[in-house]
Amino acid sequence: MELDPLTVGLIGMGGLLVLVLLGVRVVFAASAVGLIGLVVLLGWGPGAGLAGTIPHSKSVSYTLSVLPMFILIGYLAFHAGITAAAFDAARKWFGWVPGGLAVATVLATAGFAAVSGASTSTAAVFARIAIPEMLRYNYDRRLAAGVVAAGGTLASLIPPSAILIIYAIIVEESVGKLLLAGFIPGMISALIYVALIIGRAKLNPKLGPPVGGFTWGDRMRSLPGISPIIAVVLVIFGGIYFGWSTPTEAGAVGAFVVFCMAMARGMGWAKLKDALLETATLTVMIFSIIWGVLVFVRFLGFAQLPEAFAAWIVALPLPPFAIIIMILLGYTILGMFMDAIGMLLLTLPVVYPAVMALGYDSVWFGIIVVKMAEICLVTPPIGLNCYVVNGVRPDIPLQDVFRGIWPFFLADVATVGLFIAYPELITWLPNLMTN
Amino acid sequence: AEIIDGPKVNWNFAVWGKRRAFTEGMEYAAEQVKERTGGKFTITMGYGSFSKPKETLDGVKLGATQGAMFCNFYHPGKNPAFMVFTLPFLPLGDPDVRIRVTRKLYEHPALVADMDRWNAMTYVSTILPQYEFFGRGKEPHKPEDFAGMRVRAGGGIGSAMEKLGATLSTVPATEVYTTLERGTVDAASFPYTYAHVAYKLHEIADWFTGNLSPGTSECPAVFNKDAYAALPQQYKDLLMGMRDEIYAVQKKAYADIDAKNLPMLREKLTEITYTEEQRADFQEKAGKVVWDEWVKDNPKLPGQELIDLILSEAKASM
Amino acid sequence: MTHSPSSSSHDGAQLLFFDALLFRVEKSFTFIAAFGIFFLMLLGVTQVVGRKLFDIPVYGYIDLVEQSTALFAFLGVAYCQRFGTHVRMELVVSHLSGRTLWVVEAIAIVFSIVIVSIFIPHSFDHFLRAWEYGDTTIDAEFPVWPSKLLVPIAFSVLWLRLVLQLAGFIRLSIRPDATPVAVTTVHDIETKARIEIEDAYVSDKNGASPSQRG
Ligand code: NA
Ligand code: NA
Repeated sequence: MELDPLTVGLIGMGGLLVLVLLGVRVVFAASAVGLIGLVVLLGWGPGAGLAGTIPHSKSVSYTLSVLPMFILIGYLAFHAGITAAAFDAARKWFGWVPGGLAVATVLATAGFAAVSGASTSTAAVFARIAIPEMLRYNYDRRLAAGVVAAGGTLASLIPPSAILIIYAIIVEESVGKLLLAGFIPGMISALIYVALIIGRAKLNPKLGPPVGGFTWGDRMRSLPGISPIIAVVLVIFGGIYFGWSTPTEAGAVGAFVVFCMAMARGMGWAKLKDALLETATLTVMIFSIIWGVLVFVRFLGFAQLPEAFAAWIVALPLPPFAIIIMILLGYTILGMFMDAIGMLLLTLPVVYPAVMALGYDSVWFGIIVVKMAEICLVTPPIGLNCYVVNGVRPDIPLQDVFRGIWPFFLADVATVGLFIAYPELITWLPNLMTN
Repeated sequence: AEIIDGPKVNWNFAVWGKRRAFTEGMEYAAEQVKERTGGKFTITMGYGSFSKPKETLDGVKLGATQGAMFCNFYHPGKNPAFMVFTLPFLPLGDPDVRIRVTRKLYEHPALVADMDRWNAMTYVSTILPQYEFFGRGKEPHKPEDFAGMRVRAGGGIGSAMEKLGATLSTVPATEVYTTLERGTVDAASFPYTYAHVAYKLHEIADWFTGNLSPGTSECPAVFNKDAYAALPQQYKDLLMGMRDEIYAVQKKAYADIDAKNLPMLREKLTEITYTEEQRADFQEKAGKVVWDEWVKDNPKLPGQELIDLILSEAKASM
Repeated sequence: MTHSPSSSSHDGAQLLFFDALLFRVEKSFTFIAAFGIFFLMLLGVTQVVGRKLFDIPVYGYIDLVEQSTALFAFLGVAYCQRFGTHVRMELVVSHLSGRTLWVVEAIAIVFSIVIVSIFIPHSFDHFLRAWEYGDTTIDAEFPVWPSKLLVPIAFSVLWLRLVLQLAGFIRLSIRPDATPVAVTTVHDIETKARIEIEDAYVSDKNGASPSQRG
């Protein structure tokens, strides 16, 4: 019996879910279902032949070359000693406000986010730098733990961010545009955290007292330490804004700047070798899921499934707004169990055309989806950031970390609501800068 | 009209990007084939879902798609003889001349051999318009004005610009807007007028060339030879009998978009037009030189013969 | 993480030998990828400086960058598999243990081997087409076949790694109590957190870099 392509597509999606659940690595699960599906639809020669072209044809691209540059920036930034310097500067400048050290933690994670694309390692590093300092000043331990776990999530929104680049690749949107788009939402998220902390500390001064006593001299002397952050932001934004460089070139120059600073601060050959090796490992991991999933996407294309799903969604007797909310709820549930990158790659090929058919902006949706993925990093049962904080500070029980997260989680939900109500918050900057 | 009866056949046809003037010809073919066979013979157009732009020929060779569009300049090595169309300042500005010349050239053994390697046969040309320049700052009125200019131009047009003393800048198409706006490039060439407007260059350019006709690219629609051979005769006749209609649709699609764009462009920007003598001057300084080099650099191709064929065929259709 | 045996038993010694041998190849491949990334950084700087200051862009820069992505997109793929870095969902497997776990892992690996076995010849064909019929890049007209050839080469090393891991899982399926050799093990969420933390700590103390996952 001949199955129609749509049915084959649906069976394929089911098969993929089973394989992924069984613990088959995403690259093999997705490429396997894609390959088998293509063979079913096109026959052995054309199907397997076409699948065989995809790893190369989808990986070898100018746009994707930006990924290792941004990953390298993150690894080198650690060696340039940026994390401690960022917290030190933020503490000296903003320690005097209510909840000052928690506010400083948010601002330092936001600053560090400008050179790093990784949420969990940001949380791990700041758990070690910021929590002891907060506890020394008798800060509420739930607040201290929560702010570090939440602050870590800023890394994926504020550029550079691997996950935003991956979104851009899948939906074929400009990488530069998405990177620019993450900036304001990332800042808004950070500022909402700050407002939340100040508000709570004012109502209940015991949560976190102000920490003052720094002179303007102290403040000024703290700035050179964060100069790599300023340099990278200037190079990347300046490069893209003034048209000196494409995102790949901007990434290369940014990496070079951090590389020079790390060398100046005594990074030796061994450390450089490690940083490069780690960058290469993470890069090949991301490329593997990209091509693996794109074999699957090619199969969906021949099965005409995305078109069918989009048509079905558009025909639903619901307003687009309700459908978006349902999709976001779906992501919340998936995010409880899945790695953010894997989740996006597996769902976007089908969900994205539907969201576009509803008339939403592609850059806007990218930021919303990444924000959702980040929220999942701090919510039970598998909020990895919370486990990381608990791991660094075993004296703060996991339940306390999750309780400390609650206010930030609510703030994040409000932030997403804000972005849905005012999409211009996301689309204004990229449209201004790149048209 | 009478419905053409036959077996149920579906073809997958690979294109890329969005539906646009460039794809209207094949869209028309797909629509007509379906209508005239009462839905028995269908052509599914896959916009990026069947193949990557630079690998549509691989898809045809593998038999994964029964037809595809490709552009010669994406991969010169895959279609060396087709690169003749990309030489600068060929007399291919007029669409009717273009149609006649491509039809003739498609039959030439060198071009047939290019396609044979990919198990493909040419069907129609998308008669891509000439690439005109959009730019900011100093206006180029004569060949010397291009000297020192930073331009984005590829293939033969790029070689021609180098001959005139311009600096070539390779920027991805999507980044051209920003680089032109910030002055990293002074001028960029794209198929006129639709691609310029698609990339919004009119928003930031000061001037555009209206009839420089520096060159173009060739993007044919091709079929997989086996898939075509397997069609019943009545479907083959239907496809082959439709080519004039497809060319008419294609011409109209470009003309419609020009009719919409040109008044807007002329109102906002300075249009630079060239006299016959001026164009001959360009051709002299940057045309023939590049042709000769191409012939010399490709000893395996009957390069001069192909160029002469284009010239004689173009002359005959004037 | 790949385990090394803690006991002095001879069991698994052969696996360990092949593991070490293969690891040398994997590591050199990944080094090539790493240098590719470093080269890409220098090339980008040269391009921006050259274009901006001297109006001399690097010849064929975009084409060169595009082709070089093959280095870091593929060469490290087996190295990454050895360390279990390729993304997967461990929700189910993290609840398994003993023989059940090893059998499920072995099945997942068999599956991966079959897929990679199909990809090797067909990605080789893709190279062969470029080699035989010609394929060049858009601007500088560099040949494309070298980057296409990297795919089957990298996949062949990956295939060897998978076969070695399968042998390791089969050995454990037969003798669940043996010390795991040449296999990757499952991390529950706490272990994952601990690895993240260790990486971040080590970066400060010894200079190894933190993981950037997540
Ligand atoms: Na970031
Ligand atoms: Na979660």
